[in-house]
Amino acid sequence: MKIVLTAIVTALCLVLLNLLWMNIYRYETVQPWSASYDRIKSTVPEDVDTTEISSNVQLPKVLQTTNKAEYPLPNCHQLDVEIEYTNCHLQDFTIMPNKSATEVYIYFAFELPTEQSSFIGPVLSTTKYALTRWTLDDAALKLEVAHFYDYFEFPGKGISVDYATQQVFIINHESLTDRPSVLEVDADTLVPKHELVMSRSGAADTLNNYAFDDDAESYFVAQKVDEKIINDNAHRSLSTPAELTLYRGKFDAERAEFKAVRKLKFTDDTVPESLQIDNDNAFIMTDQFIIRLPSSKYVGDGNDDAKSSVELLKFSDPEINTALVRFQHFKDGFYAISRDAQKLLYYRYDY
Amino acid sequence: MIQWMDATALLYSILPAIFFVIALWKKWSHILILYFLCVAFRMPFGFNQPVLDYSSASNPFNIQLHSIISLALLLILCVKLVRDRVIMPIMLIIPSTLYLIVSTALTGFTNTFFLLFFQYQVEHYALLLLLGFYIMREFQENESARFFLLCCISVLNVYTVFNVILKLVGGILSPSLIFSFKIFTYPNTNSNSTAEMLVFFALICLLFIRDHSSRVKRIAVLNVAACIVFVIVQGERGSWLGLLPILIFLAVIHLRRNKLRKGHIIAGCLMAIAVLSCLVIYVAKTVLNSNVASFFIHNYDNFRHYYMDYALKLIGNNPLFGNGVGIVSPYSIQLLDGRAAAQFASSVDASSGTPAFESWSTWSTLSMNAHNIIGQFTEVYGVVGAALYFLPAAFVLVLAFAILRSAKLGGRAIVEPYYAALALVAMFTAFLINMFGFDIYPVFTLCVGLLLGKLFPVWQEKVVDRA
Repeated sequence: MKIVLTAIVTALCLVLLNLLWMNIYRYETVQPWSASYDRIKSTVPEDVDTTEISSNVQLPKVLQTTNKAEYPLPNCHQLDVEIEYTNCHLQDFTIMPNKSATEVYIYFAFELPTEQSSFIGPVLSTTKYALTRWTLDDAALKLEVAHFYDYFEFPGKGISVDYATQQVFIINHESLTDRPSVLEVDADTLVPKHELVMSRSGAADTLNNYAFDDDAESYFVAQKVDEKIINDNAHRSLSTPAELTLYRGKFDAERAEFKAVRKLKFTDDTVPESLQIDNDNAFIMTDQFIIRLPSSKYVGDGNDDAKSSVELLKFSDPEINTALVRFQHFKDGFYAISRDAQKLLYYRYDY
Repeated sequence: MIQWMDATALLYSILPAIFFVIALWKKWSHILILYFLCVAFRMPFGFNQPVLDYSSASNPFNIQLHSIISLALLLILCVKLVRDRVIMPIMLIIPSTLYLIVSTALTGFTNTFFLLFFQYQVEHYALLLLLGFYIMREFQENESARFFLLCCISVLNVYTVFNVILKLVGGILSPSLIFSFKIFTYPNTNSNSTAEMLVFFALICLLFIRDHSSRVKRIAVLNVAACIVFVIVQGERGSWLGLLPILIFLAVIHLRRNKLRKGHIIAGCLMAIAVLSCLVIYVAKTVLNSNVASFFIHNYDNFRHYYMDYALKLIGNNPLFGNGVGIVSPYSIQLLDGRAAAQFASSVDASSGTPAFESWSTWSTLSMNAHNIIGQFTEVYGVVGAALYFLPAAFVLVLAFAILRSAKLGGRAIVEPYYAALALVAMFTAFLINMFGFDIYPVFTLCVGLLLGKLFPVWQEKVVDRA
């Protein structure tokens, strides 16, 4: 009897010891990321020259026409913001004025650099993401809030904001159910609130972007299923999809699906250049404008010499007008447009 | 209610079961060994396939034919042991069984319960434990059975040679080949499991390395050496880690027993292998940023700590009694909630058109088990339940300590403390592998059963009787 009791106590100790080990393992692997906040802060110096960012870019009136001519943007600066994010890969960013329109928030999502655990034995190569909020003053970009996400929580396609409700969303969070989804985050703390998983019947296999208008109607760009997927175990390269669809519809949070009321298809007929959807930021939408980024066919091999151009499309129901303006010779990058189309931010990859 | 299967079921379930019963009654140990190895490799019942939920209108409780057969075999084995007046191993599996039934009764029976009960409790736990115990007891007096067992392991080791060579050659020729053919990861679809099994094979062979029969001893030594080499070449980190205590144990044994120069040389070689293993891990970790197997793959990511992080969050929900059956279904598939489970079960992989649970891309995001056996049991059953589950392993530990202590105090009381020390090493090895592994549970149980079969009679005769 004594030996059985000893065995029970030993088993309990074994389980508790294992819990301790799991905690140490987690601490060892998660702990290195605690320095990431400082790293992000340090990579954007307080005195960075943000003149070009903060300049209130007036989009030329000619943009209102349907002229497809290529314009050199006479009234605009080239918005190549030379911010040296040495260790953090920019995923996406978006801008949103606060409710009183006194301040402009900029949300940047970063993929943090791969870290190796110092723990003996396993090789731990981990990926983390950071969602950050900055204020855009006349003088500088100022980091306000940062929240770190695990790989499973944030392989997002991008960030979107609902101006009316001041809500922030992470788009196409590949959830455990492998469904397109939207992760709603707290606008102040950037902590995830809840995840809205779309059903397959929502017609979207991959959600590329997502925006709101004043009536809380949703627009989202989805990718058709029959894309070619080349999976070589490490790089997941997507070929040009057969079809892209811009959906417009209300989001039914109860049923977690979009009710598509209108589909606008991008095909080679309507959009001459091939679309590269693997670039997560092919579309940045407001309720009126879409910036399309017809990029080089292959993203990821550092082809910085590729000639790219950016088109600003005016979106009006029921169809997408042709290009309003084309920015030429821009390299791959990220774009954000303010809702009033008065601010255009462009982040250029610095290969 | 029972899903009757086709001729395959007959071949893989019924025939081995008949052989099992006959072998048990007639004491045909050789057939028992074959069955034992089959179960260890999960061949007769196709355990290597992940099972989410095959319940249907005709089989709502998801009870398979092989589950019923396994339960029957377990009962037969229990009757046999009771008739032999050996009830201790049976007593060790009763608490966890009762715990599982009572805790599930409180929360409600689901089809997942039956799945878990038969796979975890009956097939991978109770049956293997008692079988290991029974075989080890029977083998004490049967030299040819011991030799036959080691011959079987040798055959598997020879097969592994081809496996390892093919894997290496295939990896050099084309990195994608590693994942293209299951042969490279024989006997499982996961090369980690192969390496982990080899570690346990080494432990099993070590039980026979001091056999009275010289041919048994020789083949055991050869097998241990082969297993050590193969584990190192396989390049799986968890197994390397698990191998270290074995190497150190062997080195110490040689230093203690053999005062001759030869013993020192062997001990030195073993220590050198251990040090080299550590170096390989270090170099792989720092220079190659990967292990040997994944050296050929770019952007290799290790998600294990996410699994553990997630498991710890789940354990935090109810640390004492766990989240209940169904929070982690057998073999890796994580069901977050009913909605996710329903979606997952009915989903089809868009790219291949196959059911999602057959698609590796889906698996990679869904395999949210703890990657830590004890942790996973703690997730499901809580600290209390997990402790009951690992009671047999803890019992082996306690027995080993008692025997070693008795040997130290009584001097002549225990003839051979080697097995007790080996049991401690085995438990330590298992714990190290457990830290990262998740697929070794059945082999671990088998090993515990064998050790129990070796240690329990020694403890009973030498320690208890003396007292």
